[in-house]
Amino acid sequence: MTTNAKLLQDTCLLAGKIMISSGSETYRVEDTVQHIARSAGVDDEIVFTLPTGIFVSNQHNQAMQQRAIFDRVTNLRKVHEVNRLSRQFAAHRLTLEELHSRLEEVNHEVHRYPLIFQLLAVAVISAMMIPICIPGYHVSTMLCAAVAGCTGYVVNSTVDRVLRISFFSQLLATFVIGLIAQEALALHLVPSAGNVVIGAVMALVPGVAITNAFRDLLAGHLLTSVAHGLEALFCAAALGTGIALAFRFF
Amino acid sequence: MNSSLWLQLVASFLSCWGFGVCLNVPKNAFIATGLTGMAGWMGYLAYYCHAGHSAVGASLVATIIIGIVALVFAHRLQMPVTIFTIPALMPLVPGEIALEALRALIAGRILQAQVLFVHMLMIAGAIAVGFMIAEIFAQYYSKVVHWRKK
Repeated sequence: MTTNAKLLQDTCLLAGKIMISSGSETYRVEDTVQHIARSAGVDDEIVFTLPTGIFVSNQHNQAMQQRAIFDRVTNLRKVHEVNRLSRQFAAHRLTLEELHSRLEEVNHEVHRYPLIFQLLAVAVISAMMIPICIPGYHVSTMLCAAVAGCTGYVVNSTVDRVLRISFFSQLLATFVIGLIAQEALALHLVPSAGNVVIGAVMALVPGVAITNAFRDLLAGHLLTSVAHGLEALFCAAALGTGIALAFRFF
Repeated sequence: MNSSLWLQLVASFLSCWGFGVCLNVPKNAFIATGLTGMAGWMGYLAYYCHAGHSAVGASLVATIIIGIVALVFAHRLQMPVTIFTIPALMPLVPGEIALEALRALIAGRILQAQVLFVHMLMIAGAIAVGFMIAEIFAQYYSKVVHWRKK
């Protein structure tokens, strides 16, 4: 295999890996990888993607290459960056070496908005979901949901960083949310604890995963859809268990 | 326009902006993300209030609107459609129903859990079909854009 072909394989794998681990749809991953390969003059690139790995090969070189993918978080900025770089490569504004090194940068970059900004966003989501989900609105319910939502978000991300088990961190987060809602009810701040919970868990629920599972199923990506659907179900189970525990015992 | 409609407009815009921050959307896409979500939620409410109280049908209509608006923004801002659709979808997705279903299951209310679960599957299916329809529009849209450039 020539060095150039090897670099192309590496670049394709890297682009695909970043996209899958940042929550891109499967067809977009395959599309982008084939786009990069075609821009480099290889027309018959074969891509096979799974939520946990990516396989790339083409007719010219006999070796198939693969990468394993361990962590999957939704990070739309990375999807955008890969998309932008592949467009620039297709327009011949980047060489293959430049594309590869830029993709490495994107892969290692951990740009997130500051925590305080994220918490503000979670508070806004939790409060604003109350008028959306429930007819009518209630200012103190919205405020309690914002507080509970922020606390749940912090618990979720902290426990996830320490334990690396998302099932447990989500369970704990909703347990804390349930406790706060119960406490607000006990202090007569809100008329119903359930409404506070609905707003507060909104930043954690796996709605997009459920929907994406259906989209992948309709598009024919059967393995991905089953994997994502099961993951979403487990996530919902963790969230539901946490709340049920909090409501049952306190 | 009554005050609760204004509230719904503001709430849907802000919540979609919030999801945009949580999902790490690029900064210059924030407003477009909020507007996409707002358009989708208005479609949902319009269907829900005037064409029969069906969350499934309303989700379908809202998703088609989100898909088309996101397509226009994606074309304007040169970004993937996903950046606008995922946060904009958040007010519609049945995550909350899935949660309620699991809660009912754990509490031993099996029948209620089944009803909620089927409801969740139907909404998720409606959203998926809505995107399919929006993608058909997308193909025509790109053809029209190419044709106008010629």
